[in-house]
Amino acid sequence: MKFYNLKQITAFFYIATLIHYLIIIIYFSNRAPELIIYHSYSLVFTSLGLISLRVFLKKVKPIFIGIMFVGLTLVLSYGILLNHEYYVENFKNFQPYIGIKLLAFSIALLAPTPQWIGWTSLAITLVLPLSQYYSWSAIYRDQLGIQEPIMTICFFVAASAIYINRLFTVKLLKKEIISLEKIAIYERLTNIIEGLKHLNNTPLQTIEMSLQLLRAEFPQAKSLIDSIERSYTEILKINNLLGKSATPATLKSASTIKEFERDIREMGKYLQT
Amino acid sequence: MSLGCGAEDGHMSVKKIIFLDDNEDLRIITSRLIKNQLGIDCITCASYEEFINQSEQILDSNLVILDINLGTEATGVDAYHWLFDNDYKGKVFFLTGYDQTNNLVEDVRSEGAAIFQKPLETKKFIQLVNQAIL
Repeated sequence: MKFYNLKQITAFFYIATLIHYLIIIIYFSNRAPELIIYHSYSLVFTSLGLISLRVFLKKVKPIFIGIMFVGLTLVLSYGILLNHEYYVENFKNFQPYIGIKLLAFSIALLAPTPQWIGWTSLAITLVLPLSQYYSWSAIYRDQLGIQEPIMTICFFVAASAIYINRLFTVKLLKKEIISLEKIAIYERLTNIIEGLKHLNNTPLQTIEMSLQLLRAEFPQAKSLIDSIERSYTEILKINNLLGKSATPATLKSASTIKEFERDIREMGKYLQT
Repeated sequence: MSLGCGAEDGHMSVKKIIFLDDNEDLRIITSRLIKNQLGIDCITCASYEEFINQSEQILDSNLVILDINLGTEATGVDAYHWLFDNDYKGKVFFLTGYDQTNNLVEDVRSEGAAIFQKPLETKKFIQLVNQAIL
């Protein structure tokens, strides 16, 4: 399972916004040409943001990516406010703050971390529309219908609940993935140990038997043979300790030096990734 | 079977032991040790192919000692099955570097084979061989 990091989430957010602005500009070019200027600026902002993310993807610090995420939320929200300003001034029929509500839900589902990014962005989706709403006269407010501003607040609360739940789920899944990776490393390690022990056993058997033969055939070399035997016993103790691990059934321990080299190399690669 | 796949060896006159292992040094040392300690000839084989090519000598032997991993696709377990298929009357045991938890080891153990893990103490090894050929 793969989790997207903040850079990837932010890049996705920018790409989606870029597509959104392209559609909006085409859609509004005839219906409300007055709105095109701001949305064009937003399109340029989003494009530059996306290029920055692409160019500085490896160098940029997480805090700047967070600011970029919140910044885009601000740009999007402000664009929606401008739309509403235009709608109420021109007495158009519209769904009040539907864009803001969708934005709040999208942020919750994207679940950016650290949490300040998510909460600041969600706060923008509440504070901005409410500020606009209360800055308007009663005539403008009435155009939004009886459900506002409560509906916008309800959407914010629902988006916050989704965000909390998403954070919790992502955290749990990350923990599970880390545990599975730990198990995989343990399995590979025990496999290597098992292979090491197995490959040691035959040469050790040869030394064990050779020592007895040497004792029988060269009694004059007793002290030398005793020294070799002591060292052999030490190696044997270590080798027996290696035998305490159990190779998982999913892996096959090395039967040859070549296979052992392969296992060591693969373990190194695995740890690097 | 406690130590092998047959016990009707009373008819054999000259004692003979077969040792199958892919490690050349161990083959030389084991053969020399058996000759030195027990005065019995030990014929060694490096591979399963070499083993079955000496079928006459093998079927006439008193004891066969098998390694499991021979560094090839064919293992000592194949040699063990070949002995069964050819109605071998002597005794057999495995001397392997594999751990007791190894799948191949567990398989042959379930078939009733005697398995000893390397490195086996020389005294114990000689004792086992002695018991088997008595």
